[in-house]
Amino acid sequence: MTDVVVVGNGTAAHRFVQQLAARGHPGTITVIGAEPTPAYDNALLGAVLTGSLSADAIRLPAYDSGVRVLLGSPAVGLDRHRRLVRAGDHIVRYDRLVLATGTTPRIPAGSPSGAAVLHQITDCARLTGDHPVTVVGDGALAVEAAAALAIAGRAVTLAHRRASLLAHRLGTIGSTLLTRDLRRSGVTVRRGGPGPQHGVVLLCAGMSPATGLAGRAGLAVRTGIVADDRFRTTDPAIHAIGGCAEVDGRVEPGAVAAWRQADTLAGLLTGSAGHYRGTRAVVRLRGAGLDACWFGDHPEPAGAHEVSLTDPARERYARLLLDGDRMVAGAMIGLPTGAATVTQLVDRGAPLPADWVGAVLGTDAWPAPAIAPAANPVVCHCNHVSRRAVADAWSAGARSPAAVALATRATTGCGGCVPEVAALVAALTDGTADA
Amino acid sequence: MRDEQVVVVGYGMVGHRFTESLLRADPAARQRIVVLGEEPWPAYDRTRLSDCLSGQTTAGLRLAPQAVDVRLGCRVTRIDRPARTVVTAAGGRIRYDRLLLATGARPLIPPVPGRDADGCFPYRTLDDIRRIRAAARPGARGVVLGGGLLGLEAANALQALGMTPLIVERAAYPMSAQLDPAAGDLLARHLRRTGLDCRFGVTATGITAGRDGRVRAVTLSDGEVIEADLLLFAVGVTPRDKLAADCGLAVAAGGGVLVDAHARTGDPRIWAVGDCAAVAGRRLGLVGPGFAMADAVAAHLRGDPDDTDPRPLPPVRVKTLGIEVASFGDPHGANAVQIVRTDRRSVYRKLTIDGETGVLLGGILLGDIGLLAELHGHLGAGVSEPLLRLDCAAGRDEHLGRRVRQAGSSGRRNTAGERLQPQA
Repeated sequence: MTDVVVVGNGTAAHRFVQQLAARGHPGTITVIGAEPTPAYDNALLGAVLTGSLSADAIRLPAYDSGVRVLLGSPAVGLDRHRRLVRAGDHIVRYDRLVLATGTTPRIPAGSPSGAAVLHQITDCARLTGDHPVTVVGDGALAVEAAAALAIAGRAVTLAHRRASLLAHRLGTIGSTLLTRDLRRSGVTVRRGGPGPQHGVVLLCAGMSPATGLAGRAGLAVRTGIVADDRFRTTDPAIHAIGGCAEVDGRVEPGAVAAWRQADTLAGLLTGSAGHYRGTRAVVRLRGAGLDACWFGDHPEPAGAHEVSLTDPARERYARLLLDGDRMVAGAMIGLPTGAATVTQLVDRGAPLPADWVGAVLGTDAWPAPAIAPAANPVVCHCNHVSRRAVADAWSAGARSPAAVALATRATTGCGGCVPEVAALVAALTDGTADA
Repeated sequence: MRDEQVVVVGYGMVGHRFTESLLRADPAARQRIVVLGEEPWPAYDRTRLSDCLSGQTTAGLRLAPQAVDVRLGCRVTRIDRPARTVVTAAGGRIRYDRLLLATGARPLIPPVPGRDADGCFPYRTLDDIRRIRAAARPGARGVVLGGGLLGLEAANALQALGMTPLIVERAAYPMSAQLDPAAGDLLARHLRRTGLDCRFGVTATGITAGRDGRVRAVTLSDGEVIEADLLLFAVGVTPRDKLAADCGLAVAAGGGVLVDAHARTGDPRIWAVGDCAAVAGRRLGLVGPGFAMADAVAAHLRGDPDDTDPRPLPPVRVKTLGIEVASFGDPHGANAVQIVRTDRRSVYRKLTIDGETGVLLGGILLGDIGLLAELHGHLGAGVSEPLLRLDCAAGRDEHLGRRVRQAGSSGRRNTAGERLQPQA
């Protein structure tokens, strides 16, 4: 019998436990959670903060009755030799240990003391109220928090450190559009540190993998807990998944990656073969007049080719990096239908369709053009010879491209129109085109 | 118009083209045409000047001889409009019923201190080429001021002479009139890979000569000093519109004889075409549009009805740089929709489209210009799938097929005189 112990009670842990149980894992399952509250979806904390959802509403479904859950018990140490976890008042024995400790908020040097973070449900109480909020940060969390607070009627300032907001993800154009959207929602956007504040400072400077427990136990740690593509840490009895893990060299933030990793590990531990191939998840910012999304490795993979659509008048932008027809990175703004399409394709690992402009614009494509191409276009630009001139020459007896060239000068310049003239002469000759 | 005397002032490529167009339809017209060329040699292909530096003889550049009264080395000094006569420097007076001005343009020499040093040349005429060829030394450094079409051609020419060229361009990237920053950046990277040294975003602020009066170095606006054994001016041209201005014809604010879309000046007997003209105030500076204008005037003089459908300008197309570059319409389109496909290394394709109507406004092709004919044919018309994909394989085959099928429906008109459009 394999006793599985999970340290952590967030998105990755919850999904893993549910999957393990569903696949009929024969041994015991124990969940050790640091917070006293049952598992909840921390991606929805912003909604709790602004009051659109209650704390209960973001709770995750209860575990199976056979799962042992220890709440309010932060894990403080591992004994890898005896396979024991010390957490709160408990000492728990494991055959397999799964670390799903998630992330902790990054506190940049020089941050004001007493600044708030939005990481756990208990943080919401500090931030609710009427006072103005200064959100400090550059990334998706900062933008979303600022937008949500503005929608909820708070006076919000977003102070960002980098030159342009999310330019490294959305590009210069996308960044400009996003900043414009934020301002239109009532957020004051400015570059720089928190500055003189009124009200609360909310730090949204990114999340770091929570690796303290693993590090102290002597497991290899880089950015995250080092794990291979089967989620094994440097101790084969211990796995790591979710935001705390560096799987096959990559830390994958976000819920979608957490679910995929959890599903894969649950499969592996219940007898499936195979390994984890990584998740390409689309980060989507929505609400408050924002519709931006991006995905892919950063920095961008070299050698990928790019398609893009830029529509400044309608404040829309999309850029996709492709390897063949597979999307490896991208960013979109102001294109809700296209973003939904692309998100689905990326999630499924499906190729971008050949009609990529249609896919990106979705139902927002411009009306079918009413103007047809000109009837008598120029065939040879160097010598300014029109299609009619070629057809006339053919009618007058020039039955080969060489004869047409003599009669009209077509093809005698740069030679670029040779294929077209040849095709036209052939079509006139075999009657598929009228002279 | 059948018995009228037509006088052509200027025997460059466009003057030559006009004469050829007129003769093609009516060989008998040769008795009524007089061409007055200022240069002492007959019309030659100025776009292939650099060939003369890599072995081509100047005679090889000559355009086809024309059996009309061509007077070389003959400079017109004045147009006497009331008397319908042009006056030459030698005192000759030639009467005209119709007058075509094809006087071209002269190279712009930027007012850089030291520009009179030996070894500094414009890059425009056969004479310039001869002097450049005489002054060039293999292995020596040649600086070209100007990174547009002309500058790139001049740099290419220097490479053909065995010199090491360096381009100085004011814009942030080469061919800034035809390309956008992304395409320009790819082109710049390609040029550097071919060994062409470039400086962008700077101008020349001083030319330094040695004690022998020969150019030694160029100072740039960012302070860099560049060694130069030879220097070429390729920053632009100014239209030669003085004849027109002196006789009271309107001249555009930026220079050039002001003409309408049919090349007409304010005088019903006088037209202006080519580099000397500004169509609705805009100077085009390329031989393609010049040819189109020349053909249009010739057609008019033959008695053909004027073409009421304004044709789009031909694309700009360059193959001399080891990479193909094409640009058409208005590829800048500040507020238009821009659709791009690029491998971010050596292939770049862009369409500029009106966001309301879906009409194609312009485009840029770099590295692989296979879609050029199809796309250019859609200028001013709607463009949709599959051309929008900017994928060479898909676009070309389908559209070549479609255009061939449409070959015969060549603009028939209905009884009301309206042009019939085929179904797309």
